Amino acid sequence: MIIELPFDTSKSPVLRRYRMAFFHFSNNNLAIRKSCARDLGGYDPAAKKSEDVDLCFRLAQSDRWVALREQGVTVRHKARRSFGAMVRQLWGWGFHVGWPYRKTGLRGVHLYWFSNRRRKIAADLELFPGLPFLVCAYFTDLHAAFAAGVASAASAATGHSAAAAALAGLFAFFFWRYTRDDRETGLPPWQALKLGATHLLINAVFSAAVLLGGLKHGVILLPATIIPTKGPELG
Amino acid sequence: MPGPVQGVVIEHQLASRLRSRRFRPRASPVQILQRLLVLLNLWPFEGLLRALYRVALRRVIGRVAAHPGVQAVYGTGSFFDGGRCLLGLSDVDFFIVLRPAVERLDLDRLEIGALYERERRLFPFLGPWYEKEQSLVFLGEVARGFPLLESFRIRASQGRLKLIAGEAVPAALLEGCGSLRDAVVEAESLLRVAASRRDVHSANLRFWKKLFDKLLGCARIAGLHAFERCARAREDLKFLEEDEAALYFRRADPAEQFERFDALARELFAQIALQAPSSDIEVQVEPASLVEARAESPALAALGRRIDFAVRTLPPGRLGPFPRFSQIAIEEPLTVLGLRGPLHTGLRAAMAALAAHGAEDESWLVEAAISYLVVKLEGGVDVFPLSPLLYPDLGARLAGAPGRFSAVRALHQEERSLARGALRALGTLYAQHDGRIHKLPFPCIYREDDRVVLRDVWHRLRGLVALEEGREISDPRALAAHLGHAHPRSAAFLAELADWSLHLNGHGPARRFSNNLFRCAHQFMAKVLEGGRDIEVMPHQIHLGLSVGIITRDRAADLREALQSLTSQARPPDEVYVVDNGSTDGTEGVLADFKSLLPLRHVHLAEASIPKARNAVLEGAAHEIVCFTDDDCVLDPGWLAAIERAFLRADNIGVVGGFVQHHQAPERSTVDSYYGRYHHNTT
Repeated sequence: MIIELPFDTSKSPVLRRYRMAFFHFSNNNLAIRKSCARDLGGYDPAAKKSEDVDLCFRLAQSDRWVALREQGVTVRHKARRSFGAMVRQLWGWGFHVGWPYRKTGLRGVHLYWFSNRRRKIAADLELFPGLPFLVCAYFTDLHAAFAAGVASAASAATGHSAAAAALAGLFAFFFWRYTRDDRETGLPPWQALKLGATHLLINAVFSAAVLLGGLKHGVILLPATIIPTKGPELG
Repeated sequence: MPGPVQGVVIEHQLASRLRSRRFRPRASPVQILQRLLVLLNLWPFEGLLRALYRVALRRVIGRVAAHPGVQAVYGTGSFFDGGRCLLGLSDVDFFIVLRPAVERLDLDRLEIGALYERERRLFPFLGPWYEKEQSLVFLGEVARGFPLLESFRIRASQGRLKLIAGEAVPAALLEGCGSLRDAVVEAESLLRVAASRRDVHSANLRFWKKLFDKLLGCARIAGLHAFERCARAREDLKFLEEDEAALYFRRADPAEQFERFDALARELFAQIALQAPSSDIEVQVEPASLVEARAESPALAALGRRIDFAVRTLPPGRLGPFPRFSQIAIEEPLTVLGLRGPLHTGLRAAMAALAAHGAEDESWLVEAAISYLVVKLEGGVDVFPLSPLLYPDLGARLAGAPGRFSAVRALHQEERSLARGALRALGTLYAQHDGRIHKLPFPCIYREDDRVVLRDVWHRLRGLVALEEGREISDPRALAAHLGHAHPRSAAFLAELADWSLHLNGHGPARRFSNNLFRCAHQFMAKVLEGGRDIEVMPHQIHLGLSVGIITRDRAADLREALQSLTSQARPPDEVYVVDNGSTDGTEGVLADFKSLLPLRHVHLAEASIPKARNAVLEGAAHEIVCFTDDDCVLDPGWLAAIERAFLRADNIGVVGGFVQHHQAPERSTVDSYYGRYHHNTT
């Protein structure tokens, strides 16, 4: 899961970056000093299910406090027990994540290309800092595949068969790259297929939730594809 | 990027130098473009190119110099010298001098870099920021006692610094520039360039002319004018008199030129040693038990398939008799390669083998008259020449005859005084970072690597003892005992610190270590590096009040498991505060069962709101640190102990987090697999 605050150019004439280094601390494993919580104003009831993201964003913007990841601060978390509960959890989390972004007061268009293969943001672009709202979008192989697929279908529908075929090829290329994580599970084919389909569905649910929830909160957000990680890396 | 953590940030200058100085090859299309540009160095194009350079400098340097953190920008290189230069090649270089208030950790460095790169987009020939970043001069660091950048000192002494913008650095700062040590350090860095540049750069004579000219410039600084004249008169160096543009198109054999360059450097060092007064230095060095052994390393095996060499190992310790600012610490036994063929071929093969098969930080010493340390770093390989003048003890170590060696007195004294200054400056940095993490804009989550922090601690303590007492003590336990004798009130702490270091590096048994060792180490270092006597540090075991906060709703069975894991904590909780967010199952009964096992308090909050429930915990908890977890989590036995250790590191740590791993469900399912692979192990 990528949670990142885009560049903020409001406080300095040049780039001032606040990044959560791809990760934030989720509430199932977060210890806080009371004086820090008081300073930050505690948890925001309006943040609903993203109260930990909101708190970490405010901490990132605070001049006084820092967040530390410590070796050995480890919990083991249980999975949801049913498919429906899993979808509900991802939907709820995604739908409310727009609020912390809205609260940061950041503006402008912030676009990122996230490389699934390299597990990092490979390129970023900042546009229109004067825009009165925030657009923060992460593009990945899955998004590229989706765009190529839609464009291919549109070309085919309008009779541009050569363009449709070329775009279908692009779709296949990007989709193949996206499925790399699903192909390398080491599971039997049927189980790998089920896991891959679940992964795809969850990506669709989560993206839709973030997009719709963001619109509700007055920001346009497109999250990165959910990827497997071996552990937290600090940017 | 590695996490900028407190311990690492406290100097770890070497790593940052190594990383950022790494050579990065240019793409071949750039080479082609460069050739075209060189052809344009003729009238009338040359005038146009020069004008373009001026515009670029005015624009880019003007913006950089306007940054409030920048005091001055100095230009250097043949473009500023007024002589002939090849425009289009990197003949424009500059030093950016930062005001005393600017710290290496401050945002300004990043800001200036971003500003530079943004402006440079129109003028790519000015060179990328990672090259310029090496030329940042932090006046604050110099004021503290760290040495001024050697390349800056050399150019100042040669009168090759031209102030382009801002206000000049104080003249007192430049006093003593152009010392013998500066010349030797510069010669070492030239050897590094000669050894590491790929053939695509070094296969023309212009490249070698620049290097030879600079090396002979070092001879001039060392006062060896006759040596310079003789060298220039040599038949094989006649090309130094020729025009650069013509030489750019004349092929050179990199191997042949490197051997020639290495030989000239050896002659220069020998002349310096011969002419400058020497002293016999005695340093107690541990016996270097060199053993004929072929270490188990895939990179070494790969090298063995390409060239012939003998392998020995050098025990851990330091390279160089004094704690140099950019000193190289050898933590593990160092592989020493005795080549049985040309040096250039061997070095190139070693670099290639390490790049392809080497482990991170794997280092080899290629033994020669001037030995070379080849180091595998994140994403690349670098080479460091070790001149016999600055590493006079290396020969003795390699020969297994420690104890006494001869060193040039002037170099020895300057190295000594620089080492003293640098260690004292490090002491002030340790004091500054005692209990406070310098907040950086990125990343916002910090992480301490205790192994790195302690490696630096022992490395500097070894250097301090070598400097002050002329004794070499490598083993942390022996060093702790030695220092404990001088500082009896810190003896127990030092002994435990040594055990902890050894344990972290897999050389000592696991046991429960005190939780405040990190901070005590900072305090001890701050005082000992500033010459403190019988140092006392704060207690190395401290108890913080920890409340555990759990929000629950209708998960009685999971809550039982979570509470059960709390009962087996190595460091028991001082309070467990549970907010029941409207449960209707048997949660009440579960809580009653744990009343006698845990210091449990619970409240009901009828409204189902997680943020409100968490605020209720924050308000109701009895202790300053509130550790949140969920009712569907199982805690590792060391969870609370690790949280307590983390908060003790610094007073401005507001939040501590860690790792969320997957708890395998009793029955496998696609949902469980999904969480295990994509959802957990990430935050």
